[in-house]
Amino acid sequence: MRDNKCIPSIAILINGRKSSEEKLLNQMDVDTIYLSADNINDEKILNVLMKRPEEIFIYTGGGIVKKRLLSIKKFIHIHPGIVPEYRGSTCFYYSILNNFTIGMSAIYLSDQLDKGDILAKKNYPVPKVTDMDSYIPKIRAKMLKEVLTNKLFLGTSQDTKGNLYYIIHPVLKHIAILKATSYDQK
Amino acid sequence: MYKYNGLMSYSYSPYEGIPFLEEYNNQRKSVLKMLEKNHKIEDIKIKIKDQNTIDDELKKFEVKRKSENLYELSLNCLYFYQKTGNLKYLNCSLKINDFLTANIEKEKQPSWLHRIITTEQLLFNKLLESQEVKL
Repeated sequence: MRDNKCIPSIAILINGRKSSEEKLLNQMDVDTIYLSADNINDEKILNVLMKRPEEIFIYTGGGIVKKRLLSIKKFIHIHPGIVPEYRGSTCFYYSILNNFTIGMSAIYLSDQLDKGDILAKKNYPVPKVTDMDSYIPKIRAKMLKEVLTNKLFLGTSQDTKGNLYYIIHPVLKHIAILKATSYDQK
Repeated sequence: MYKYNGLMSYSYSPYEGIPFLEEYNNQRKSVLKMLEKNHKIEDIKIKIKDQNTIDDELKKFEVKRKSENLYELSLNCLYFYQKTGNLKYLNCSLKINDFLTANIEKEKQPSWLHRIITTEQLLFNKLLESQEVKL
């Protein structure tokens, strides 16, 4: 990361679309590496990362990163839920229903889903939007900016107990969004 | 609009507002009506399992879509949702029930399904009330 800026020095895009991402990354003067790979644990990715001087990377995307990759670099991930209480990719809908909050946790990736060391946790106001899936990345970006700006890179281990919430059923999702869009936040 | 065919993918399901919940509600009500019309609904005995066992079975269903007895798992999930308030149980039961109600014409355990859907409807309405969402 460049000094005092939330701009990374390198972006490694796996199966990325050059046309849409290249322009923005060029504007920010970020070096880019495009890779075609079957999954995040592909040997090609490992080989590229091993040669990089950076110690910490920001990870976004799907898939469990295996120990081999985790042993050579650290990966920051912004999870849309307060861990360990809320694990799983759609856990924010459950937290809206349970206590009308949306929490974010900055964690280091581990080989177990959403169980890595915690860098920071924060609750954000629940947005009054119907397209929650598209809005959540904006809150994740805010959280990431806070972590990078304040250099919150010291991880503390989390309780391995907690709640893993599986993909939310559309009925529950609708109730959560209806609550979010009708609730008057004072 | 979503169709409850029991084969849906739940990832990134679109938001369709109150009409979606009304459609879900109508689908479940029509299932109950059909069961009552075509079958003699009898009282059933439910075996409540240990919560840790249900947690393991829930995980197996959510990850692999496998279960030895979907009826039993669904009813146990509804029971543990009532007992604990943890939405993961209601979530799992809703998914199972989508599957169970997809082929209602050939239903072999009508009394079980009737009990499941009746309970699910009761809990759905309670949830709407507690979340202050009106249809």
